[in-house]
Amino acid sequence: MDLTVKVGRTVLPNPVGVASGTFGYGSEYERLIDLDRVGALFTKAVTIEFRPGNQVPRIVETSSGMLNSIGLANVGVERFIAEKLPFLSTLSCAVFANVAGSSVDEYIEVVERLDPHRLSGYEINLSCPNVKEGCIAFGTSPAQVERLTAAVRARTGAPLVVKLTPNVTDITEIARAAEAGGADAVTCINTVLGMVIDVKTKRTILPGGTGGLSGPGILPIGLAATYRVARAVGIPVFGVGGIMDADGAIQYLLAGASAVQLGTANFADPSTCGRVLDGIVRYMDENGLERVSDFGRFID
Amino acid sequence: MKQFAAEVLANEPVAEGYFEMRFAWPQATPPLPGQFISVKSFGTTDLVLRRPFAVADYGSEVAAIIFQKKGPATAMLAGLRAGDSIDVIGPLGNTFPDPGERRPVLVGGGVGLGPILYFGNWLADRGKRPLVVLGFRCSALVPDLAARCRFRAVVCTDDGSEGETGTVIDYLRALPGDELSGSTVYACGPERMMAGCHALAGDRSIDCWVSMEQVMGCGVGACLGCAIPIVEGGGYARVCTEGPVFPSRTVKWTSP
Repeated sequence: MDLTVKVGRTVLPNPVGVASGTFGYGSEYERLIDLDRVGALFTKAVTIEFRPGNQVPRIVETSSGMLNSIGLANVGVERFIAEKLPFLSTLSCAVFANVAGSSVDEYIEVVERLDPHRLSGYEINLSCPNVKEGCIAFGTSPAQVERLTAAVRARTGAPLVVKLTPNVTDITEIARAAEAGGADAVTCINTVLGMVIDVKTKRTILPGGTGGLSGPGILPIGLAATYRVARAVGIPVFGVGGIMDADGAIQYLLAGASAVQLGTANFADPSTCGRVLDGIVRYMDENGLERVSDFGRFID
Repeated sequence: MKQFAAEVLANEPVAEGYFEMRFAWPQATPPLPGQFISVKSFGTTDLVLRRPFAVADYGSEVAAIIFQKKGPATAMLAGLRAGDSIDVIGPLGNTFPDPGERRPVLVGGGVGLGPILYFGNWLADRGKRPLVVLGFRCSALVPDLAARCRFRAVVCTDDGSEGETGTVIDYLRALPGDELSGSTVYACGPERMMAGCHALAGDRSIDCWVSMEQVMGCGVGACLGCAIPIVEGGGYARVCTEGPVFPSRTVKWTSP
């Protein structure tokens, strides 16, 4: 049985990744799980400068999910290189730096600073719903997505994964634009725009009003988007959204994803990714699948 | 920090709406006063997040939490019986710092009671005589302290139905001027109460440590969800990792 998945020149040891923003910089989970069993680690977003993040509270639980508005809080690219990369470089899994910015130049600058450090690749964050300026504007316009992807593509030979927002009319247009710009893969989907109001105080619970919805409640949304995007582009798709167990991950692989990312599940139970991998292996064994791409044979 | 399945040994109401759960702690690192655990055992994907609880007692590989039955998650926890199992990650976060030669003054209220009881007993077991002041709205919310405390505690109730009448801050403010000199204050409870301790400590020029609460995502420092505003550094600190215990002067207080 072959569990590897190829994204550009990077080979993932297995198809189970952990999503940006839910796994910090890896070291946070070192004592809780066997990181060698993770297929790909997508770091907390990295921006050119330190970002303190949004006002609090930043999280509110919803029925079958949660809403977050962290605001791309991160240490900035220089401290990322000095403090986070040494640990990340010891891991056997693929490591993708999630890169965010508020202008094309900022994305390019982060990638250029990181490039000498030979990460497995970059995930271009075009789709954070929680910052006023910046990436959401890029993520909703096909022309902008293509322009930004091409600009980053011109600066690095490392694999580029473009993370797509579901908060658009037609996600397949955005995916095609990323492919046209030279992306090696897309991540499908980022969080779904949502809101919760406290009826006692008559205010939104998140100070910024809206946040990004994640968790098991969005699985059907991510799955439908993955199904459509996998049929619109010829590059691999990372299926993300609401996976809490092997069944959810297998649904994404059957829908056409080449690999998956777990997000909120890491909060609920950090051991989920190991169990998902075990479940995928068992399913492949029981169904006579030789390689991960075999999942794509079943649904037109 | 480890993730483990813990057997529930007892789970009883201790005051109106409050429960104490005792559970096995089958791992080498014991939880220290101020530290917390995160629990998931809700058996449903409807509630995705773990819940943080400060440790209220530990000894002989048995730990305890005291929690308020408030929403669906704590209602499910309240329904667990001896022999059931909970999924625990812990110990998490930092600890109440040792008072050294200074006299510890411990202030607790509401769900902040648990960690204060644990710290009070921990200090008493080490020969210290902490001044412990516990605040409640009324007598029905006061648990059996004699059974839990190896120290003497002053009880304050807002309505005067038990102990001293008024808030813990009223009580501390009424103490003679030199009573608190040479002390360090440790507080856990409603933000208003902790802000009151902070103000009092400022007036008396003594140190004050507070155990903060915030909605948590991961509990291990990865998601940056449980941030609270602080007055230095980057403007925010993670309750789960830099805290939950902070010097009160670093917290940006919103309560008066």
